[in-house]
Amino acid sequence: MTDDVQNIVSKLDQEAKTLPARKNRCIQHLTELGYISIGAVNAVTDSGVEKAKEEFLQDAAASGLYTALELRRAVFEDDAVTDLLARAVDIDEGFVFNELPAEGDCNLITRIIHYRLDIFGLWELPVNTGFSKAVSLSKIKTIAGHAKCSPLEAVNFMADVEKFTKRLLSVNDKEKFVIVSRPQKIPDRDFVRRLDRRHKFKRQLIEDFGTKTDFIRHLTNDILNNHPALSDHSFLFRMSQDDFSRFILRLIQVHQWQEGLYEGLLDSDIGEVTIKSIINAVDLYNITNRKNIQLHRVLTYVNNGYFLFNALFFLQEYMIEDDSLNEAKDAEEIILGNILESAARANDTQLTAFGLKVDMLKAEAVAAGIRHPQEKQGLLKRIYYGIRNLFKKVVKISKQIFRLVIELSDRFKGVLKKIFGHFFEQLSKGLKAFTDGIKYIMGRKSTTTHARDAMISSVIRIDGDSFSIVSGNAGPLIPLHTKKVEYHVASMTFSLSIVGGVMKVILSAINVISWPFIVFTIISIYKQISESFRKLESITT
Amino acid sequence: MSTIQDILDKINSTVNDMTVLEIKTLMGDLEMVNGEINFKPDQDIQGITSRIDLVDGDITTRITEEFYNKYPELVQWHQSREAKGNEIIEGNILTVSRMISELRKIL
Repeated sequence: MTDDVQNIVSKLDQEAKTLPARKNRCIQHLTELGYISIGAVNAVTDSGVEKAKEEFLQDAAASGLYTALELRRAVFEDDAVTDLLARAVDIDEGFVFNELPAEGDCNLITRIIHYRLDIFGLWELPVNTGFSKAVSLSKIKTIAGHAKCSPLEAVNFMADVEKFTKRLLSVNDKEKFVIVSRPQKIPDRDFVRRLDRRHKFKRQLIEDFGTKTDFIRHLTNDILNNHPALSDHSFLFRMSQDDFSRFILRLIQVHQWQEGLYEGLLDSDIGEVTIKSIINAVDLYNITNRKNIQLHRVLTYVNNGYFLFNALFFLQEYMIEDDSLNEAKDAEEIILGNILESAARANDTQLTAFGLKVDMLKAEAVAAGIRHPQEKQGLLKRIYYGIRNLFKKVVKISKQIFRLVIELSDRFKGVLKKIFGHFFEQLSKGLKAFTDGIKYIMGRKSTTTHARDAMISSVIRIDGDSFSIVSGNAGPLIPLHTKKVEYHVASMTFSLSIVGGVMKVILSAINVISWPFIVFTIISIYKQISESFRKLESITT
Repeated sequence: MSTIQDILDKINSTVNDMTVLEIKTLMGDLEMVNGEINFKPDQDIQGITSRIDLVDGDITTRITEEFYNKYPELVQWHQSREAKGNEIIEGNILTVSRMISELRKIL
């Protein structure tokens, strides 16, 4: 039995080394916030990244947005800077501000605001430009106009895309969400022919909107007819240039990007890639809600490269989630729990297939982690790393995720990559805490501070024993070294708890089950212990 | 990676060892050997060692004169570790005891 246990622990050690790195996520976020310029991102060096991180940390400390504990973690834990950056670029549950910046301000808050405007296609200057009434506030007011709210509310709406979408739907006339679009590159004829559902789309429009308004009557009589040559092309062109329409299309693109259904550039161009992502969204909706919505409910090709899009239905049905699951944490626990339950009931063939497909997802996550963020056509090709809204959406099919992973069809690969990418990140943190815990127990976790010819290295054991080696003129290093040691001592109890939890899993699972089961149980334990420590920190700090 | 038996033995011996604090702060010329920092051989090591019996309160401290005279900030550092040692025990004893009792149920 001891050999089996030892094999599992060794395998966990190996697993930790194969998990995706977060370095390129860090580079992406630093670029999004203007600490690395888009023009330089393709060839940024390690020292360039370090300099950008330092600048960000200084701004973060001055911003008042982070707790002292979060800032300390970022100093003493290699990967924690990425966590701070992730919070800054979050548009699911991003920072909420109490006031707008002043004219000329240039700090982390102004960068975040400009970043949000950039996400919604309204910012063309560098993100680290100073805040100005003439430009920044003017763009914020565009958003405020669409959402019929104050500029400050608009800034905060952009930090919660779902809430923002609900707001837009509630304050704008429904017919404004019937959108005309013409992609820059017209898809090929076969693709377009498959999407020509004018008649069904027309019937659906009448059902949804009635024929009371001139706009809908014009669409149904003069656009969605059998005679393309007679269609009102000037109307189509005007509608395709409408600011609100283009904004809604961008909003849809952002939603799709958030959920892993769209991996192209955020460029407001509803081309073939975006349209395919919409088709996949309809498929996902049908599976999660056991419905059979046809594509014409949402989209049709018209003629001459123009598409009509029922964004009202799309946003209402696909993009807004059930508020009964208010906490994405609940959704994540349910999803994890259902994956574990499915794994526990699966036969050997299914488990093997699941394990292989999880490895494939991991390989893609690792490759994405290695792939440097790229500038393309002046835009940053980026991945959305947030997961909150996707979990709330996918929880409905959490009992099917095990099967969907085994099938790993192209339609849902993007969604599964995002879900499992998040789990791999949790696993990486869990295994690091486990490894640290083992080192603390064995007396091998050292804290070292050095500068030129001076150095202090300390090993603090779990029984309170302390062994420090000092050399040279180490006096000036003591204040920093003390902070580092106190930080590691504070994380010691957490790491020991993880060791206890993981050891229990390993020793209980010896005669059973499968590697994926062990791995997902560890993720679940890590999350539970992290949550209890987070609650404790919020009480005691 | 340590074997499971090593880890379990270490946890057990740690619990037994929580009544005595050993604090050492040592100075000398250092070298890296197989990725670990060690003192170079054949030199006089300066520093302080303390042994604190938490049960009967006995404290034994040894300090080299040169270290005491020349490096007061490092002496202070050593004393801070003595003060913190007890806190570390208090912080960990519950977690470690729980770990042992749960693992014993399984093994």
